[in-house]
Amino acid sequence: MIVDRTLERRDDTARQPPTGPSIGSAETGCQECVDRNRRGLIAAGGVFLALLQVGLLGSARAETLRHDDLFSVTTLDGALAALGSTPIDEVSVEVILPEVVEDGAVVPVTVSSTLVGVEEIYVLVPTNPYPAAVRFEIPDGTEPFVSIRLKLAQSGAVYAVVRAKGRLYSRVAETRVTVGGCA
Amino acid sequence: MADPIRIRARSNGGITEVMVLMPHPMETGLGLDASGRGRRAHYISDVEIKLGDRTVLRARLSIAVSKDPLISFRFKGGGAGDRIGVTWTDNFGDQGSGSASIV
Repeated sequence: MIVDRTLERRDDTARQPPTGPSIGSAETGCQECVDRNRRGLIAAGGVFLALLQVGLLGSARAETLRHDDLFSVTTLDGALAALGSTPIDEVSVEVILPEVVEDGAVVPVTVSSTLVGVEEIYVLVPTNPYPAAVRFEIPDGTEPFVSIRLKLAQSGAVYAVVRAKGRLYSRVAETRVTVGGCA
Repeated sequence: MADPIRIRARSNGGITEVMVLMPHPMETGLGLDASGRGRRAHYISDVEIKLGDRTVLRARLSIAVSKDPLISFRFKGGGAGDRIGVTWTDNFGDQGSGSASIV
């Protein structure tokens, strides 16, 4: 935190606007000074960010979120690769969503399955900037039935993927979105 | 800080139906604010729902979940008066929790 504050203060001094058009020889010397300061600041900022990332990713989150890469991929293929394998299209998985959606910001999606031993349920939206929307862990005793409201950027397919006894099953549904909910 | 979590849990023939509403901005970080600058992503990343000590649902949400996430699901067991507890964590590390009795 202390490092953070020092950086901010340095940032402010470096950002002081040049005063007027009077650029003398002494002034140029000072300009170089500022430039050097800036370079130092950028380097320090880079190191700080790197530390921040390592610190955040390495600690608390690591064990609870096994599929961090799933939520950062930008293609459906990437998301499926993160899940481990290509799901089998299966009628025992059901995905319910409205055929026409007026407001893409609030789209109710319900996924259910008649499969036995469901462990996880995912919803993937290939037309969103990040296809992976949500992942549910279904412990023993919880029914393979979940419902949530999602944002859809545009019309297109919504995939429900179910992991049962280690295998993936999927079902797709289409919807038409009048106003995208991406902001 | 945030508005309280709203939970509705109803037991029906050995199955408990749960509906959870967690007030949260669920900011994607993709949009711009009034002054045209990018807004920071701010969303609930993890939700855990418990019946006493038993975890009945765990969810990992992303920016694609709508504002004020509403989740409903069903589990076997649970009777009138049992407590359902909900805890969420967002990407800033903030947490919220709430509980309610099954009716």
